[in-house]
Amino acid sequence: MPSVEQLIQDSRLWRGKHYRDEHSQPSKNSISSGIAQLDQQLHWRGWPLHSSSELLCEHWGIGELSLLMPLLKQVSLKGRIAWINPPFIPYPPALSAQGVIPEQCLLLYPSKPDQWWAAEQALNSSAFAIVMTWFTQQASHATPYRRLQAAAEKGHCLHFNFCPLQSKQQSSPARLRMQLSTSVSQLAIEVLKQPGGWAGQRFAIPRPESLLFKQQPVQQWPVYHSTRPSYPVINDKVSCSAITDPPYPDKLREDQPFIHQTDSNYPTQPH
Amino acid sequence: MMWWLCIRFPSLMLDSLSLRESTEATAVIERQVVLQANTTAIEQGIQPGHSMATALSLYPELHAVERQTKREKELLEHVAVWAYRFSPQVSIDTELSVIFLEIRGSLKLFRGFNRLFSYLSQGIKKRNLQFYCGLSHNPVASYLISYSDKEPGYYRQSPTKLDNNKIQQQLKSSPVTLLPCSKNVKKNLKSMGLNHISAVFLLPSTSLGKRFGRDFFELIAYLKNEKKEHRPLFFPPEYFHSSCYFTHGLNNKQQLDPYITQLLTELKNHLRLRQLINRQLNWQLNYIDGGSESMLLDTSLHVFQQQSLFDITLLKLEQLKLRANIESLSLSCKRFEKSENHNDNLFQQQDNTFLTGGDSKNEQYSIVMDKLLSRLQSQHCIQLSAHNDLLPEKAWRATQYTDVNTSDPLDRNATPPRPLWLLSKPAVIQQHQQQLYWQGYLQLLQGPERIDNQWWQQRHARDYYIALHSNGSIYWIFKDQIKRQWFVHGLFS
Repeated sequence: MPSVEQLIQDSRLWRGKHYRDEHSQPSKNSISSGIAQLDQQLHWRGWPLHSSSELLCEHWGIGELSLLMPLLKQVSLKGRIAWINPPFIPYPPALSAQGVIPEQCLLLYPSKPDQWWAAEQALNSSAFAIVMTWFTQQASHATPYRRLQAAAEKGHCLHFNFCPLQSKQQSSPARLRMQLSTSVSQLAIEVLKQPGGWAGQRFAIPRPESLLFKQQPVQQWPVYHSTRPSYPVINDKVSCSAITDPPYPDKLREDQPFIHQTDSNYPTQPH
Repeated sequence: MMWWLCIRFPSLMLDSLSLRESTEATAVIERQVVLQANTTAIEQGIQPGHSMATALSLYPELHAVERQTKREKELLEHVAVWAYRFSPQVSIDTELSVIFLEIRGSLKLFRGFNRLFSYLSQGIKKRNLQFYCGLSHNPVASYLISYSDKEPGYYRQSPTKLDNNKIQQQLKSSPVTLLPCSKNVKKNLKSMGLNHISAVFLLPSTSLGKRFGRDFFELIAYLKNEKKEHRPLFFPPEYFHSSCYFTHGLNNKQQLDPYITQLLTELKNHLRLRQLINRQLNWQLNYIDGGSESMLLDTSLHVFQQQSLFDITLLKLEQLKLRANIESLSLSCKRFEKSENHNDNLFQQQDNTFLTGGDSKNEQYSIVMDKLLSRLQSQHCIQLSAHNDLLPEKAWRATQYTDVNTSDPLDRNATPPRPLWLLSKPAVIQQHQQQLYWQGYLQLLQGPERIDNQWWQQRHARDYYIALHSNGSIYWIFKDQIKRQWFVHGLFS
């Protein structure tokens, strides 16, 4: 007979909310995603280990990879990462800029009939820490996905399957399912299924600000008029309130984006 | 004194063609003369030495097969390679179809003659070969003794000494026809009335030398144990080659499985003797119509793992379409490497979490890559590396997985954002009503980053911008200042 502790450790056991909240730390069954907002929304406080996760995307390039980057960075120090049929080339300079070691990445381009087999082999082997798949053809039934889930469990491997939004209606054996879509400068996420509790969480993760500086004509550059000197002038007996009141606005307003490029000669639109 | 054990294969010709146990009356012939016949044929009255005409008149349905000396030699060498484990001094004689082993030096290792001999005879029986053994101080004498009806153990006096009297007695009673010498010599001996070797022994050896030549003189000296015989020794070849023959041909790939296992086991033994590891498997299927098919598999294992090699072979075999019945399957390996001595932990820890690295991971990686490569082309398995180059498409390199590659240390000064997804080839952007259009409208967010490079070859002058697509994705686009055209080059995913 297994003890209560053993039962609680079993990932298949569903637990009520008030039991869960005591364990806000990342559990043994998961690994932190490295994104606080995401971890907060997941009952297990991270990506579920040894299993399949499904990321349903409107289209590629909406920020789906950035969700995984902190994890890839952590994993690539020791483990290998397999990319099966990625839609584009994972650009090594960008990977290494984010701390992922490009040599640990192996790209596989199996043909349509071979892709399920290749993914299963990679997951089964326990040679890879993470296997990411972009199947060029979606399976019409759940059996191949179930095999992948079983292989991930057997090979102690994390599996991320990126698939189009159309397969949302199809049932999936993946532990975690998330729908990713874009909204203004954000990546909107809806959790469709997750282990350890109810799903249905909706939240958004902002895209990196460094990408979103909007180029504005010079007339619209933000200009901050300071009526007061930027530092307290002792000789002129400026009151001490000058120190407590900030001379500049604390934060930039959304409608007055900061100008990144000082050169304004470049057009906002092509001529 | 040396102990030479002779293993004689009396029906090697039939055995090499796997015909000895055939229910059909079968004979091996050469130049229209029967050389060996199986039991069914002998029951019909056919004897070695009969001409084809005589044999056919005795039994018209006789199945006659031409002798294949190459296969006999292959089989003998194959057994010799296996017998190499019993002694470092192995010699083969294809004319007599025998293998000689010096076993005096191995007695201690095998704890006595009986144990060694039982291992040896079990091994040969497993190969389904008919054999007789003889034991003596010289190879030729042991060959003659192999014709006696006594077990080789009979000729021992003590665990470490041979009984010379018994040996000499047996040799003396042997007929001269058994002597390994030319037909003429045997004929002359007969005409002189010398039927048994005892009579030859009585003659003065100098006159024997004069009459029959130096070779015969030496042969008698070996038999009398007056001289030590030196035979060319057999050494296992540096490469591995072994074959399985199917008399009636196989028409199904599944039937090959046990033979693949058998050949791989042989390879395993071959490698273990030499402490090597193979880098290649070269399978060859020979069809009954004379055609052949070969499959070359590269392996990257550091330790021989029969099961994984078996799996890879089956994967490769799956892709193959048989054109005809298979007559034989052979495995050869020419590329070897020194195998690394693998030490297991005494207290093995079951630490198989996905973040651990180490040897076992590398081994698993080799296994899975061999599997994947056996089904995918090698250009479909790519490893990445980053390089310092201004031109974005040259700042990375794809190498085949087996190659060693290392990234350049990243230039930390270059910090402009780079996209995670790169298009394999920049895609041209259309312009619709003064707006950029590529599967939707693009709005520039920031830029430019000018890259002007390679003026000495073909100049590239590009202004890179980050642009927002109407579907919400963020693209990395550039304007080619030479072609005056816009391109998409990547996606900030």
